[in-house]
Order: sequence, then C-alpha cells, then structure tokens
Amino acid sequence: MNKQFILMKLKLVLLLGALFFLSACNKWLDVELADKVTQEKLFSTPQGYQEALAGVYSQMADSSLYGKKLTMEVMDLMGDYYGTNNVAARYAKLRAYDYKDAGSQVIIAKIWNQLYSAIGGANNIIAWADKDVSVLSPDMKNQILGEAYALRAYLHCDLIRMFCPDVVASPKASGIPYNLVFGVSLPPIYTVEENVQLVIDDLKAAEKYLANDPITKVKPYEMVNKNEADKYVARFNLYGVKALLARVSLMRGDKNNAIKYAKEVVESQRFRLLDFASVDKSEKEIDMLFSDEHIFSLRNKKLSDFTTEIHYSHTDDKGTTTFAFLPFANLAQLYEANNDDIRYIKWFSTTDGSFIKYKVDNKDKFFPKMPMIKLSEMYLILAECYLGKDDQQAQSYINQLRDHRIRNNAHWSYLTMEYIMRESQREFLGEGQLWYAMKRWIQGMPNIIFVFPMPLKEIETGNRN
Amino acid sequence: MKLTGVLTVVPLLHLSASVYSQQVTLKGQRVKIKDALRTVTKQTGYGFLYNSKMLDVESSISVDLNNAPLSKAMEEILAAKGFNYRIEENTIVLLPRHERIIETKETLVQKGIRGKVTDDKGKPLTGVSIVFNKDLSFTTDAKGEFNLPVSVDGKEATFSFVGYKKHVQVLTVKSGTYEIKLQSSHEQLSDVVVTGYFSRTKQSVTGSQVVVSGEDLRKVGSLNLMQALNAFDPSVRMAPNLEFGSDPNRVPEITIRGENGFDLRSNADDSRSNPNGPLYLLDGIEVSATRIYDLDMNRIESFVILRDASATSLYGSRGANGVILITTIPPKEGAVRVSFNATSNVSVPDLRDYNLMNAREKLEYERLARLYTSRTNSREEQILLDLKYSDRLAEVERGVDTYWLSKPLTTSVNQRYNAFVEGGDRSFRYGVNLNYDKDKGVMKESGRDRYGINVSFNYYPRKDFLIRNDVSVNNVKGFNSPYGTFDTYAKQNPIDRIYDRQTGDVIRFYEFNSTLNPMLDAFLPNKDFNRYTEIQDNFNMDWRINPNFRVTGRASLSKKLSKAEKYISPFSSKFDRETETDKKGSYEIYDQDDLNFDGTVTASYNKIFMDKITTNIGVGANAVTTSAVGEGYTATGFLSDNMNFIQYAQQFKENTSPRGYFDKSKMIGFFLNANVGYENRYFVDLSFRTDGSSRFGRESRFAPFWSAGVAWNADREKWWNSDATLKVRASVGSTGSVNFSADQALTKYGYDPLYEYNGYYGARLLGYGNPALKWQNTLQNNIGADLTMFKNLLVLNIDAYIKQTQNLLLPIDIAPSTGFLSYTENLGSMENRGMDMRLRFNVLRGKNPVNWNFTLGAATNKNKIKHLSNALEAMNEEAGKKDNVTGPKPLRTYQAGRSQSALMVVESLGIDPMTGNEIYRKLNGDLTFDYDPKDKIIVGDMNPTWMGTFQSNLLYKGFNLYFILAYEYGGKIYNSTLAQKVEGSNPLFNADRRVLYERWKNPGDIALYKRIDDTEPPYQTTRLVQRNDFLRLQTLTLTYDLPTNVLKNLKLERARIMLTSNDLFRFSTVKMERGTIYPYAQTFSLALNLTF
Repeated sequence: MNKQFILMKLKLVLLLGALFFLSACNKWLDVELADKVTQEKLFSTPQGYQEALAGVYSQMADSSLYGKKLTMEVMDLMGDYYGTNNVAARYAKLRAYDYKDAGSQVIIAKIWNQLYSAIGGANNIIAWADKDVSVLSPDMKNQILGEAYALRAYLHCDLIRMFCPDVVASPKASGIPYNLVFGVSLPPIYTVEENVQLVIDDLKAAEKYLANDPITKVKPYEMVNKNEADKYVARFNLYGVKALLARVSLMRGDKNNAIKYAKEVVESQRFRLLDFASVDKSEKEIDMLFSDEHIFSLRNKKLSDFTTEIHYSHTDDKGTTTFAFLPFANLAQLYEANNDDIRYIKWFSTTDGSFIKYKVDNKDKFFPKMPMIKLSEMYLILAECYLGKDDQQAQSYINQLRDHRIRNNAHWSYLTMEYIMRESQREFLGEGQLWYAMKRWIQGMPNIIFVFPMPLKEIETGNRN
Repeated sequence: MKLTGVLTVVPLLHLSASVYSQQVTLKGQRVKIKDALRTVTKQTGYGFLYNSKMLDVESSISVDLNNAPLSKAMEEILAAKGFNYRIEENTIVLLPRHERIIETKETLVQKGIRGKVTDDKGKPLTGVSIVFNKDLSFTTDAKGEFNLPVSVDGKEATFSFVGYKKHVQVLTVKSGTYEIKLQSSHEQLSDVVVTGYFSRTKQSVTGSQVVVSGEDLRKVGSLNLMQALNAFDPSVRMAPNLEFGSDPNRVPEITIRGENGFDLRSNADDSRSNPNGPLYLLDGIEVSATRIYDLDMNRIESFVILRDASATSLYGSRGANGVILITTIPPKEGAVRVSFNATSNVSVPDLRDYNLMNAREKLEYERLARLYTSRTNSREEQILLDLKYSDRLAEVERGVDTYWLSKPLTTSVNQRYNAFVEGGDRSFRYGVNLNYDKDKGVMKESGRDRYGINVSFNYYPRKDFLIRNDVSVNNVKGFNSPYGTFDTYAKQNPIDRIYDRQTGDVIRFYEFNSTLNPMLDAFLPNKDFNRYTEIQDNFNMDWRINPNFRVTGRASLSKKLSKAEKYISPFSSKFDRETETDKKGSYEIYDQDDLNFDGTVTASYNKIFMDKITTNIGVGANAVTTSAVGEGYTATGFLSDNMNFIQYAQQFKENTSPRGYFDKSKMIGFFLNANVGYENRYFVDLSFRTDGSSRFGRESRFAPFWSAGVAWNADREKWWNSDATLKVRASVGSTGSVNFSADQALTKYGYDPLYEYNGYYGARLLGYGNPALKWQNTLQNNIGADLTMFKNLLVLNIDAYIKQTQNLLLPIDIAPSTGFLSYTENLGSMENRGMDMRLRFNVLRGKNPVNWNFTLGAATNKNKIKHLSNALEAMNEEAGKKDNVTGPKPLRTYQAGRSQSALMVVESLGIDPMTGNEIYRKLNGDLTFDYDPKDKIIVGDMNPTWMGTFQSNLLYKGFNLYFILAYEYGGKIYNSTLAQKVEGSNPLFNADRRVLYERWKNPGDIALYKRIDDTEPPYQTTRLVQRNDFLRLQTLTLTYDLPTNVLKNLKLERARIMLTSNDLFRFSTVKMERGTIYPYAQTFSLALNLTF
C-alpha cells in the first residue's frame, strides 16, 4: 500500500513537473531564425521600428509602385504623356483605357495588391507602436506613429484616386476597402466620401503626432550634404502631411482648407523653389529633380534602371534590340518650344532628346529620388483654389512658380484654368500626378477612363459586388 | 540469437567413474568456471550439462580445494552462482537453485505426471522451467523429461525456456505422457516487442504493427530497405517513378496506408520532402529518409512498421504517416567473432519498354509527316526538299542506324562489402562495423559511393546498469552522369551519325532539327555531384533499479556536412552563343551544415498483481532540436578545363548573389503509456503525448495526442480448446504530422538588401503568420485480428482502418485588401479507408527435409477529400490551362468528395475516320472537336485499388529458394508515351514505332491515334488512359548455407552464398516508356556471408 502511495506521489510530482516544464518549454520553443526576423523581435528595439518603416518606404520605391508603375510608367501613360503612336504593343490596351483586357487586369491587380500590402506594413507598425510603450520613447513613438498614419493615408488616397469615381461628382458611390487593422480580417468597403474622410482622419492624426517633427527645427535646403537633408524630406514629415491634406482637400472640393494647408507649407520656409544656379551645373552636380522643393520623396537607387527599361532602346541577351517602349510625344508643343524652360532643356538631353530626368550620373551629390509631393504642387493648388475667387492671388502664385522654372519669365497677367492645367502638365512629367489631376478637372468624363475596376480576385475572395 | 549452443555439453567420457577418484584438487584466485568444470571432469570423469544462457561460465571464482570430496567441490564452485547440481550416471546436471530438483527416485514419481519437453526439431531441452505459481516450479532433467507430483493435477503449467516461446498447458494425470514441443522464438523474433520507447510482450500489443528480423529483410536481396518494405507490409507503397527509374541518387518515396495530407508539390523534381512520408527512427533517433536509403542493410537487426494510432501515438506530432523503427545489431558476447559480407552485383539497363523507330522507319515517318512536302506548293522549295530526302535516304542505304539509347548506358558491376567484428564478456562488449558500397548505376559515370564505420560498446558497470555508446561516421557521394538526361538520347534521330563521315570528329550540331549532339558534353570534364559526411553519436543508459522499475536515457548528436558542386566546362555547347569569356563555364557550389540533437528520458514500471493483472506503465520526455545553415554561389568565367577549380573563376554569375538557407526548429514532447492485462487474455493500452514545436503559433504551441487500444487473446480463454490461436485488436487515437516549413505560424520580416533607407535596411513583411495555426491531426481507427490455425499451417493477419485527417494546413486565398494574398489555415480534411492483410501458409514444416511456405499480402486504400480551401480550387484552374492539359501527366485536381489522386480527363470517342481528328464528348453529352477542360470527368484513380505481394519460400537442406511477386491492380494511368512519343511527337525527333504504324493516315482509316501529320500535343482524354495493372518479379533469390560439418573443417561458424535477381520480369497492361530521365535497371547479385 505504502509503495503504491509513493508511486502515486511520484506520478503527481512528475505530472506537476511536466506542467511546470511546459511553461518553461514555451520559452525554449521560441527560435530565432538568422535569415528572417519575427515581428516580436523586430519590434523589440527602436531600430526595428525604423526598419519596418524603411520597409514600407522601400516597398513603395519598388518598380511595381512609385519606382516605376505609379509614376513614369502606367500613370504617365494614362496621363497621356506618351501620345498614341509609337507606344509599344504591350501598352496598347492600357493606353486605350481598356481595363477589361486580361493584360491590363494583371497590371491593375498587381498595383492593388502591392498598395494594400504596403498598407499592411504600416498597420502592423501602428499596432505594435500603440501597444508597446516601453521600447519607444514618447518622442519616437509619436514620430513612428505619425509616419505610419501618414503612409496609410497616402497609400489609401492613391487607391481612391485610381479605383473610385471622383469624390465631388459621386460622393455616395461605393468606394474601396479602407484597411485600418493588421491581419487577415476583411476590411469593409466605404463610400467614396467616407474613404476621403478616413484619409483626412488619418492625416489629422499624423499631423498631431508629428507636431514636433525634427523638420520644424531645420531648413533642409540649407544643408550642403543632401543625404543629410534626405533624413528630413525622404520620409513623411509634418509638411508632407499638410501638403497631402491640401491635395486631398482640393480633391474633395474643399478649397478653403486646401488653401490653408498649402499656405502652411509654403510659408513654413522649410522648402524653397528652384534656384537656377543648382541646375546650371555639370551632370555630376546638377539638381535635376529640384530637390529643395521635395516635401516628401522616396530614395531609389534603381531609378535609372527603371527609366532605361521603358524610355530607352535596349538590347537583350540574344542581341535583339528593341526601341523605347514609351517615347514622349509632342514635347515641343507641351513646353511651347521654350528653351528658357528649365524643365524642357534639362529633363531632356539637348543632344538626342532622350529623357534624362532620372538618368543623370549625379548620385555622388544627389541620391536618386522619386518626388512624391513637391512644393510646386502647393503653388499650383493655391493658384487653382484662388482662381475665380481672388484672381490676383492666383496669378501671383503661378507667376512665382514660373519664375523658378523659366529664365526671364514674363509674368502672366491673365489666368484661366487651362493655363494652370498646362502648367501642371509641364510640371508633373515623369511623376505620375497628371491623370489624377485630369480626373478632377474633366468632370463629367465617363468613369471608364478614370476609374480602374476592382480586381477580380478582390471581388471573388472578398465577396465584393 | 544463436540457439544452437545454448546447451553445452562438456565432452562426456564414457568410462567408469571408479577409474577416477572422487576427490578434486583445484586452487586459484580467478578461475573461470569453465576451467573449473573442465578440471573436475579431468579428475573425476563426470561430464557437465547446463544451460549456458543461465550459467555464465566465463565468470571467475576463487576456489581452494585440496582433495575435497566432489560434493564439496561442486558446492564451492557453484556457491556464488546460485546453482544446484544433481548427479545422473556420468553427468552432473547444473540447475538454478530456486528450481526444485525432482528426485527421480522419489516413490510418488511413478504415479506422477510425466512428459518430455523438446524443441521443434525434437531435441530434448534440459532445464526448462515448469511454473505453476511463484512458489511451485520444476525443471526438466538432462533428457528433457519431467515427472511431476500428482498434487499439480489439473493445474495450468507454464513451460518456459530462454530462446523459446512460452507454452501454457493444463496438466492432468490421466492424459498419460506429455510430448511438449517448445517453439523457437527466433521465428517471431522474440516475445518482446519494442514499441519504440518501451518494451511490451507480444501478447499485450493492441496496435497494428509488423515486426521483421534483419535476416528476413536480407533475404529479399534488395539494394535498400525502402525497396524491401512492401514484402512485409502490403500497405507500404513506393511512389511510382516513371522519370527517375533506377537513379542511385534518387531516394524513393514511400507511404504507409495511403496519403493523409495534400501533396501539393508541383512535379516529381520538387525538392520538398514527401509530406506523406513515414517517420524513420534508427535506434530510437529520428533520421531522414536519405539516411535510411544509405543505411547498410547488414547492420539491421530488425525493424518494425507501426501503422495505427495505438502503435504510433507515442510519437505524437510525427506519427500520423506511420513509423518505421529500425534497430541495429548490438555486439554479442564471446570470443572475437568476425562476420564478413561481400556482394557483387551486375546492373543491366532495362530498355524493354522502349520501342523506338529505326532509321528506315524514321525516314518514312518524316515523309508521311510531310516534312518533304512543300507547304507553299512552291516548285523550288519542293526540289530542295526532294534533295534533302534523297540525302537522308542515301544515309539510310549506307546503313546508318545509330542506336542512341545505348550511348549513355553501361552495364555496371558494383561491389559492396561489410565487416563486423564483435566480442567481449558479460560486462563489456564491443562491435566494429565497416562498410563500403560502390553503386555505379547504369548511366555512365553516375553512381553513389558509400562508406562508413560504426563503433559501439555495451558496458555493464553493474549488473543492473547498462551504458551503450554508438558512434557512426558515414560518407556518401552521389554523382550525376555527364551524359545528361536519358530522354535526350531517346529523342535523337537514328539517321544521324555521332561522328562525322569524313573527319571522324564528333558532330556538334544537327541542322536537320537544329539540336546539339548530346554526346558533346559527355566528353568534357563536367562535374556534378553532391556528397555528405554524417557523424553521429548515440549514447544510452539503462538502469534497472529493481525488477519492476527501470529508467533509461538516450542522447544523440549528429552533424551532417553536405556539399553539392556542379562544374560546366566553358567548351560546353551551353555556352556556344556566349561571346564574353568571363561568362563561359560555370561552377555552382552549395554547402550545408546540419546539427541535430535528440534526447529522451523514460521511466517504466511493471508488475503483476494477484498473479492475474499485468501492468506496464511508462512515462518519458523527448526533445529534438535541428538546425541547418546553407550557403551557395555560382561563379563563371573559366578559360580552360585544366583550371576547373573554383578559384580560377573570374566572377560571380551575372545578376546573382550568394544564396543562403537557414532553418532551426525545436520540439519537445512528454508521453505516458499504460498497458494493463488480465490473465493475459484482455489488454487495455492507453497512451498520451503532448508535443510542443517551435514551428507552431504561440496560441497553440502544445497539442495533445492520444490513443486507446484493446486486445483480446481469445485462445487464452478456458473454453478455447484447439491449437489455433486468435487475437483480436482494436484501437482509436489521434496523431499528427509536421512535414512543412516553419514559416506559416510566425509573422516574419525579411530584409531587402537592395533598398537601404536613410541608414536602415527596409524590413518587409514576408506574409501573415497565423498565430492560431494548429497541428494537423489524424484520427485513426483500427481493428485487426491475428489468427493461426491447424498447428500453424495457416497464419492470418488482417487489419481494417479509417483515418481521418483534420486541420490539414492549406493556403487560403484572401482579399488582397487585407494586405495579403493568402495565408495558411487549418482547413482541409481528408479520409483514408482501407484494409491490409497477410495470409501465410506453412505448407510443409517440421521434420521434413523440405520446408515450404507461401504468403499472400494484399492492401486496399480509398482516399476521399472532405474539405478543402479556395486556394486549391485555384489550383484546379491552373490544371485546366492549355500547357497543363496537353502535358504528359494530368495535374491533380481537387474537389471535396473525391479522391485526391482521381484521374480527371475529358471523355473521348476516338479518332474520326474521316478527318483523323479526335472527337470529345461534352458534359451535356454533345460531341465536339473542340476541347474544353471543363468537360473533364473522373476516369479512375491513379492509385491502385489492390496491391501487395505473393511470396514463396522453399527450404531443402541448405538451399532456400525465395521469390516475391509484387502486383498492383485497379489503378489508372495516363499513358505519357502515347501522349508524347506517339501523338504529339515532333517528326524532327525520334518517337515510338506506333507513330508509323498506328496513326491515322488516310480518310477511312480506323486508327487509334490521330493524324500522322498533326504535330500538336494531344489534349488529355480518356483515349490515352489505360489500366495500370502489373505483376513483377520483385525478387528471386537462391541461398545456400554450408552444412555444419563442412563449416567445422573450414573453421567457420556460418557461411552462406546468395544469388539474387531483382525485377527479372514485369507484366503490365500499359505499354509505356519507364525511366525516361534515368532508365530502369535489372540487377543480379551474388553475395557471400561468412562468420568466423
């Protein structure tokens, strides 16, 4: 009997031991992989948060998004920079706004997937920064959250601009899913109006978080070392948020707020319009992208590869030479053959007319970047908003901008919407903003041109109708 | 286990005892008992009879006898050993003390229960225990006879003797003299079955398992263990392998009792490991399938195939696909013994499935396929084509008929050697095993070299404590043939010469079909091999604290270094178009380093209560860690083959960067097993295991697995009065499987070195890790019976099962607006039902000089998908794409309610005699010429409905003739040869003869195959689906054991010669090319086993 009792006790001890062991094992079972890092580990240091943010930026810089597709390739094709002739056959369907074509659908679906994937990255940063107080100092937390919220807003904003009808024309139309939560639960679809409001909400939150953004204490354009300046502008900063607020306000027809935010940016003195001296330099030193005007830009060392792929004739492995897929059309007409227009004579080679905006060898001084929002857009917004309200002001803003684009600029004393549109067209070349602007300007155009259809996979797997 | 020699009779001297003195003189400090007894024999003339298994004559004693009487001498010698003695005529019988010695001269004896115990060959057994209960036991005398008091009348006696099966019988006075035969337990391996962690008696096992001795395994004569498994368990299936044939570097894939999970690998070359493969344990340590493939079969003592939950649930998360336990031979005690095995085999390429056209036929096919008819009706072109035709015809007339198939092939002669040296005494034994195996394969210069050493020792510091250590070092190097793949040769035109007619140089390029001569690269010093060296140490401790309580510990550490290298010469035709010298030639290197640890601690307790209830309880814990780090790169730019070392490369291959691989996992499990029996009739067996793995989400890191089994030994019932035995078993339980990557449960980030961002590398999400991911779980139900009848004439083992796999991990497609395209979820479920049985007839047995038995094994399995995810439905769409419906192999399509191996194609009505085109039937019954993948119907299953073996074993004197016929019945196959080499054949290349003779040529032809000038690959239809039934002679073996008298003269303990042939013939309902990338081979081998 006694023996059995001992046995029972032994078993109990073993069982309890096992239970204790189980909890200890749980820790033992966490393994670290050398080639990857779990989210738990990544978000255990401030550097991890920075890396996660850098991950979203780098994802955006990829050729599938703002590196190529959403700027110089698909968006500029839709913005009609490449004319109708000479565009390679692979772009013909998209050029004809045939979004039903299988090839176009693949391209559109990929854009959709990638943008939401980047949003997922931002959402995870928000989720971790929100729950974790010990890793980040309050300042850092604000900075991280501010950038993540702003990124989420920016990415959704572009999805709205692509996949929703114009918000002013059809505010109640069904819009896109707005993804606020990291995970695999299906984000709900909102109306276009609600979508835009959500963008504004996110931006307002970001504005608060970024109130003490380091950019408020420096003037990036004064920095000689441009890599140093990029630490303030090659990421979402406070003024990027304000500039985006101006862009979104104009988009939904809220001109007062558009003026308010655009002015805040212009008057912040953090950026300055182009100084001609900076482009009158040799190739090695030329500020081809007007970096002092960048409010938010994405560093991207592959830009010249991307532009080569589509703008240059090239030879493949088998020795077959193909012509440039996307040659610019009617440039002289666009720039009125004005050899004083810096954009006309600097962005294009004076010898062979090729597009060199993203293909100059100046990376020792200027790291290649894709501008996401520039100061010039603020001037254009101000002009557009004041037009018909205070034409004097409108003229003043557009003339100020043109003073920094055209040598010996003769001021316009007369301004119509048409003029602003032309100026925007000259300004946004290679940056993918024109199609969106046209969508705003050309009210009443059929949606089939300005609204991408929601990808089939989203409809099927998300049960969207 | 050697049974002869259990009884050792020290030479009897048939001399009168009086010649000798009855006094003994013997002195010494460390006298071996053996020597002491010998001395006694010398001095007194008495011989000795004892059981050498019980009395350790090698152990030493110290004695001091000076003319002592025999009785005193015997007492002194045997004192420490717990033995009694009895003098019978000239012999002194030594018996363990606790067994009462029956005084033959006792008066009662005349009326007692008498009998004789012999072995199955009729030889008397001395010292057999006859136990009635704990306090009443007897033993048999020198003649194997017993004479028991009448007091035991009507009681049940258990006869037991080491090396023999227990025999239980009720003894009565009336029955007269008993003739009791004890069956050697050798045939059944042993009464004790190792279920992996614990030992159990065979009677108490409730699970479904197959136990095979190494001796039986080696009789199959196969080249590796995997090939032999189906001979012992019909439910083991080796995946059909049409492409890789007898490639020595291809590890075969096996499944036990069907496929429990989805096999989502896209093609045969997919390097991911088989998700339905069993767990292999070598001496209790988990090892890879490759390790088993490379294991020297001479080292195997025995293996066990565990099939149902009751047998496998102790392996918890790894047990769902079945478990194969392999035990290696432990060293035996005794003087140094050397066993030597030499095998020489000849592999002959097997091209019987090929039926290619010769030069003349090929030319005729070209003509009929309108290669020499101008399509534009242009006269100039026609003249050129006519000239081309006559050139080729001239070649044919000159007798050019190149037999390309033989070019890359060779008949290889391979050698295998194994030597085992063992020895030692009771407390220390050692064994050293050396093996060398050069398997060359039938493609020239391909092969697999294996050599290794294993050193083991068993050490008993105390009688109840064992330390065992086992170190192995294995080196394996596999070469791929520089001749490339075999299908290239099968495609070459027989009209084409290899060497130029004038210059005699190798022709580089054939303009006829603009291809390169495949022989070109074969002459270059290209290298393609992978090798690994594995070092493993297993350490075991076994402490029997008391007869009831035992603790064991086991730890194993293994390190594997692998390296794969591939060098392609700069002069290879591959670089013919490359102009820059720094891109010519390439060298690819990949290294991997694996480190695994496996540790187990168990404690077991067994006791018999009230003489009726047997209990066996075991608990344990098991931890496994694995890690693998790999790196590799490709370099280019070699100027000469003399500088084909990596350092002479000029650069890394353009647009490539170094590759890396990293994987690390940890697993820990706790388990418990209880087996309770009542009177050896009823048994209940319960197991529980909980496993935790780093591969799983935090929310469900530990998962429980369990099983419950019952067994009923019906033949132990009182009312059972025949010599038949019957055992009925049933079990239910759950087990898991984890054959997938670590990525699915963890949300992870990867760094993209392309994009540095303000001083930070961007960390990008690598997908959504589902923290709720659970283990795949297979619920298994099994019932089975083991029956022997008519004095063992007939032995039947039968099992039926239902396995339900739940929570199958499947990718699930989700809305991209979540940020992800898919993630992994426990979604699928699947069912396998089946039966497996083995029926054995021991037709001629016993004393006959001829001994003959045969065995029929049969297994059936039916698979059914119960639930699947939308991502798999997307795979179905993929399977409907044009490239896939015209390919040689229909892709799997998945649908709930069907088998995952269902063969789906469109129904065909054959070839229209008017047009030579194929007619399809739509789902609605309409006939059409237009193919639509949506019209697919099920035409059968790619897996057979029945499969198994038929074996026969015939023994006559020292000869043993053994064969295994393996069969499969009821499966369907899409004939890829018809799809590629008869139809869909390109007239520019060689094809199957049927192209010429059986395709449609003229309107009105009733043909099986479509228009001869139609070169498009055919759509997959029922027309090319055939039954895949076959019967093959897997093994034919003849062995001869040298008789004992010859052995004595040669001073050998054992000598055996064995002749084996594998795959001598194969009858199949399908005429199809097998072994397309690497051909099949037939092997003939001659083996010699010597022990001395």
